[in-house]
Amino acid sequence: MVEGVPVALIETRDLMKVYGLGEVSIKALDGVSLVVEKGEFLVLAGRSGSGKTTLLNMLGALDMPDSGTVRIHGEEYQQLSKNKRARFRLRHIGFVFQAYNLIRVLTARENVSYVLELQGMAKAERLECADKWLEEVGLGGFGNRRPDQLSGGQQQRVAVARALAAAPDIVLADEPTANLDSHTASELLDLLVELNEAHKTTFIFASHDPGVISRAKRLIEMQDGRITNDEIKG
Amino acid sequence: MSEPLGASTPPAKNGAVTLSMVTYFLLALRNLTRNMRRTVLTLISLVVAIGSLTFMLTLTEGYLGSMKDNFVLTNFGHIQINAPGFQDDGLIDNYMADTAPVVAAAQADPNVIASTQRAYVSGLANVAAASAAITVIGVEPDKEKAVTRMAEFVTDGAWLEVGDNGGVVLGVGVAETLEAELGDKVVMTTQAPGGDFSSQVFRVRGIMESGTPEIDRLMAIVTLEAAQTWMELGDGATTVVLRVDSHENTDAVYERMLDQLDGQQFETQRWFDVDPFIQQIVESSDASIVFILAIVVVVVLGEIINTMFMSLYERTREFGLMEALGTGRRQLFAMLLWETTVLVSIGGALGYGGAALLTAIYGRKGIDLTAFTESLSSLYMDPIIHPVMDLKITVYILATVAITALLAGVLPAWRATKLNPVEAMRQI
Repeated sequence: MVEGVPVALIETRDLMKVYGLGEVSIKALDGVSLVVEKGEFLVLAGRSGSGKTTLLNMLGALDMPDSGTVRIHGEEYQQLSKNKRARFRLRHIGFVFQAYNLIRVLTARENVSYVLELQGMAKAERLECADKWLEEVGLGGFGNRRPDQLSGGQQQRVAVARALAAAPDIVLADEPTANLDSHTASELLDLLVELNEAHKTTFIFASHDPGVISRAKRLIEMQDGRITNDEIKG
Repeated sequence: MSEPLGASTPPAKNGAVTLSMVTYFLLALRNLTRNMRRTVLTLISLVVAIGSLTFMLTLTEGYLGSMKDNFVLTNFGHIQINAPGFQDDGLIDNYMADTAPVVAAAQADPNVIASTQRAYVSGLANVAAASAAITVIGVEPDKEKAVTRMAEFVTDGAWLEVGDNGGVVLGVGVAETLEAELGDKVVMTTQAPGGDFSSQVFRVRGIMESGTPEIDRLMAIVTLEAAQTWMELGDGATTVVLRVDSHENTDAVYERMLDQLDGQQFETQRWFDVDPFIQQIVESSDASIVFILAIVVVVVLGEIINTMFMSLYERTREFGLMEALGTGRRQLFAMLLWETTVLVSIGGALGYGGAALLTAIYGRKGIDLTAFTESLSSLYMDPIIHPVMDLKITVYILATVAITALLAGVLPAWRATKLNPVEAMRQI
């Protein structure tokens, strides 16, 4: 890192990932280089098997590349132990997954407050924070409900609240609308766009949902583990 | 859009990854109620195992305690002090001519609640048509009552009065052999120190039945004063018997007696030095308890490990999610360990509580084993057993519960820390 030179939020270089399936090996990522700046609303698009989820997992420090580097805030996580990578995710990254996003035995409020507790926030403060974020995603009054008492859309909103309450640098969302009906999906996306604009939080999606793609401010298309198109949509 | 707290006041990012005990407990409790039927079935097996183990321990404690008490209070006392060699050969020549230092040391000891002197000698009892081998015991009638239960074993007639130097209390077996009844004359012959034979006539004042065959078949009790005159012992005696306030203090009193009494003149022995039989039963019983304990732990362990692994596999995806959210390996490990601990603690508490209740009920009422009276009495056991709960049992159970929880929890917990979040979250 050169002093005085602004550091990109995310920078990847020549990411390679190969999965072996018996005799056959598949290149999930084939030399992906990418720079993402703070506040972007970026969608990784492509068909199933194009490598978008693998790339998202690398950006989220959930999976390790076979070669290449990932830097977040100038920090490389590849050398870190499993425990330190978990801490790294806790400090920098929020997640919204496709389904089964919440801890089933905790209420909505407790799900949001869980990551804040991991971060060491005091109880009163984290509960207040959880309530405010639930309010923010339109679930004020739903705090004491368990996941099985919430609809799919509401569960995704709780996941968004949990991701943002931890004040991460980046929120990664893997097919967040895949299990939602089109109306609920549209509402969720409207909310995410609003949150991106209000808090300048960086959002990166992996999706092939046209509704998600249409809202992208930057669209990266992938095929066979490579970036085939990188377009700023404004 | 308003500015929520998390955005304006970022949480502490000091690198600390922490969960409170309340959170661990809450997660454990709620995860256990996820599959209620499985949890209840596991709890039932835990309650039965821990409960029956606890009750078995209280029963064992009850009968071992009664065996030790009966053995000590029937005849032996907690500690006996003799002249050196008397305990081995039983010869009256080895008597203590001056018992004053022993009596003084016993009376001064804070844990000795009573002491008495005795004179033991082997002999022969005769009536007109029969004779029987006997052990004559000269006792201090009033002091003996404070040391042993011998006076309580008189089933016919009465215990000796102080100064009744012509009376004898016979064991029921001796009386049957001699066909002697209350008021009958019995001629008893023994060897005095120096080897001279000496006979004396006594009248039967009482017949006693201790329940211990070897005592009932041999015992002929006279006053110490009568024995001293008859055997020309002066103020001497063969034995001073001490009653200690508890079994636990026996060793301490024994050590103090050894310190205070001249080893050349006196030989001090605890009840189990004199007759190690009961102590061996107690020790072998301790060994069998540890063995049974180990079996129960292994069986319960298998059940809980199975339950915890099923729970782990059902929640693999959730563990992956937790790891993705930043939960560290230590936290995942602790979560599973807490879950096992809560499960085992609930089962342990219910099992222990149930057994404590049974012990409280049967501790008062007793469990009647009179059908086995004969075989029990030779082991100094009461026919009615009163289970006893004590600190040792509580510690045993606590240790069992803790070891079980730890052993059962570690393997699934360790397995959880090895999960890869990406692969875990692909699980359905």
